[in-house]
Amino acid sequence: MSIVVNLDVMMAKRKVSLNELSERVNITPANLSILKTGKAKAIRFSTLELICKELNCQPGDLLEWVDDGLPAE
Amino acid sequence: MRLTTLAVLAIAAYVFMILLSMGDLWEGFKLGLADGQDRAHETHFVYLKTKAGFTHYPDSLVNLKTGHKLPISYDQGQLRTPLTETVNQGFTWLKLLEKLAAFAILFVMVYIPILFFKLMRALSRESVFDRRNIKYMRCIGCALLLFYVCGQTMSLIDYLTLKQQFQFAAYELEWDQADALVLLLGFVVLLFAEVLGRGSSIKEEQDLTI
Repeated sequence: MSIVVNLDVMMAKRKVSLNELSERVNITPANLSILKTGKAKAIRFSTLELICKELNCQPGDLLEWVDDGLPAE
Repeated sequence: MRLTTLAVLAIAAYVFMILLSMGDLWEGFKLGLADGQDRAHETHFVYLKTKAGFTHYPDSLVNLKTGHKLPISYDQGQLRTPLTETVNQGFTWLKLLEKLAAFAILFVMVYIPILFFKLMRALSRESVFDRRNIKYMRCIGCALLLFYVCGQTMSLIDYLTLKQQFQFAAYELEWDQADALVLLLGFVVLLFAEVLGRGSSIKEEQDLTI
């Protein structure tokens, strides 16, 4: 998929662990891990809002579009 | 809960259907056994059509309750013939094809119930959008289509063979075609497998939405 999730980068910048963030945004570590590793198919606005609020960042800091040359799914 | 109940009811209906056909199966087995032991005679199942149309009754039966002779036309029968009357065509490719079709039908008759029970068991456990269920449904659909094609092939070969051997005054032999409902059911099952496949993709997407 040509949308890259930079959650790990933002977490490293804010020095927050996966478990800590999962507790703060009330998402299971398993689901947060799916998001972090880029396996997620979609993200809800509410989840994005919570993560942005906790990491004090913009959605654009978490999501990035890269041209992989493949057609969109 | 409703899904579980329906799955259990479907299994019960299938078992009931199998039990109903057991009687015919047993009769057929006994006939085959008797035919195998009797080397002088052979039994043929014939499907008939009156030459003059449906409103023509070439035969008659006596009603013992009234003593009246009643006109009747037969649409199928069981012929017992001496083996000497049977035209021996030798081992032709048609006979080979008929045997292959019979084996395929036998295989499908065992394969479909196994897949059906597996599918119903999965559904009774509320596991609907599972890749394995889609596989089961696709296999059942293909097996049903194979069942129809083989059944049709066998009945056509049978019809052609009988036509070479028999000719009757008031009746002509008819090709007893395989049940087209099986063909329709095969396509419907394949269609539902595709629908289930789409549903499964949506569920996977839903599961991976955080």
